[in-house]
Amino acid sequence: MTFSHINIPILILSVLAWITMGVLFFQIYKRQIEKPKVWKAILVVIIGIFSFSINWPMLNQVIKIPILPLGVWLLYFIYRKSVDKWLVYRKYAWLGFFSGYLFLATSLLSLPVNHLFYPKDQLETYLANMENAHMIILHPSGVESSLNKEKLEQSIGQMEPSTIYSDEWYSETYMDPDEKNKSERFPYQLVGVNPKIGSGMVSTVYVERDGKGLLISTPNGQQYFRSKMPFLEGLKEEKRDE
Amino acid sequence: MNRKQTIYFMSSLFLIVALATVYWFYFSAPKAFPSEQQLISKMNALFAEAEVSEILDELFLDESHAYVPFKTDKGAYGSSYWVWKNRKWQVSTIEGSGQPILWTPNERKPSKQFLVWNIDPNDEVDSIDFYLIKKRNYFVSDGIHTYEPQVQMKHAVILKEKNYGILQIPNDWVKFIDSSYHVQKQKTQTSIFGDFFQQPNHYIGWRPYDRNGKDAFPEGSVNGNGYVNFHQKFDHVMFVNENELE
Repeated sequence: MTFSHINIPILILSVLAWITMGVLFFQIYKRQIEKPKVWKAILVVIIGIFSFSINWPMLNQVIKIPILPLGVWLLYFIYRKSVDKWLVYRKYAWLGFFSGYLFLATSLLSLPVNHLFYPKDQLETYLANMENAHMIILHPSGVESSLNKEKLEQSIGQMEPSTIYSDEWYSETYMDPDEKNKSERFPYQLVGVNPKIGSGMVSTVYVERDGKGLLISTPNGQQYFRSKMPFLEGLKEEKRDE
Repeated sequence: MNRKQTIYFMSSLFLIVALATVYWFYFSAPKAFPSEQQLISKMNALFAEAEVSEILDELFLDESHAYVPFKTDKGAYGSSYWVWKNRKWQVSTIEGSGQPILWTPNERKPSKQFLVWNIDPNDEVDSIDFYLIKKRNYFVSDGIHTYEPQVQMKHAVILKEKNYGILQIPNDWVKFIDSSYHVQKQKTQTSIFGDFFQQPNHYIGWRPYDRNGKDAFPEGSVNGNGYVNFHQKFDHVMFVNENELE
């Protein structure tokens, strides 16, 4: 995993969550009259994190909800014979369990933040930098055509999210009487493009054969954009090489 | 030096030596490849059934992976896969037949893949078309549509005098594979079945032709026994039928 695949909002929120943990840890420590050993307290927090939790799929993300504080129970069992020590470390154990909710909040918060900075229905999220953009042919029905980067850059702001008619696109291919030379609706891929900085977005960008549409496959489903003018050149000869 | 300082000094010295040793052991540059005679005896010692009699060539994928096609006593053509591992050139797998195999030497670089083959000359294969294929597909769930375009990319290889060879998969294939790998990987990380990595559903296939450009049936290249010494990532390269092509 390279740096470009890191989602900055999630990174920042996670760092904030860790800082919150540190502050809470320090607060507990400061107020205690009988101080614990710091390294032991940290270990107790880490064990306290251990919990039984429910994984809840929500908006293409898995939300982890801690339910049973297994780590806290384990620590309670370990310290069952020395009650005064347990009183010293108890709060740290619960801090560990509580951190599960802190990270739950992080994931919940990252959704609107990401939506704000990286809206799914905007092409710029996926195609922010096109310096090294070029096309490759994925299917024999694609013709040697060249990408007009300027036109694509111009149309990016104007391209509109459109409806994916997956079943129709699929079946129209097979209606073609020419069994051996089927036409693919998206015979090209746009490569060498970078997503918006910090989005961590990865995608496969398919280009439609009329040079006006982009179908973008992401880990969270697909987006389809249409332009009014084509951004491919040399499409006129709709002929097959083979 | 007092005692404490001595302990610190000795333990840091020990740590440096240990790290240097580990580094040397795992990361030092490979040394010369074994001689043909050594290759043959190593293989026959590990897998007597192979009966390797002649080394045809040594083809390097990178500095620590080599493909060695060979001939056997019985006149069969086979493949062996050599890896620089633990300061030694070791054979990972010996195959008694030479049908094309897709070799991914470093699983962390899933798109750096090589096709290797050693076709029996009696099969009269003159050329091979390799294909990267992904089947067209669509899904609709809860009104959300997904359309997977058909991918079919071709790379032709002419065998000429040499019936064996290696080919790093073409750049355009790498680009497609890379992007779909990353999408698939992140999809897995955010799915509820988190640990289960679904392999991307493309595959690499081959179609052999004879001198007249007709389909060849390379029977001699597909039947053989193999021996696995240690794991490397190999993928079967499927036959592509004409009716699968668009």
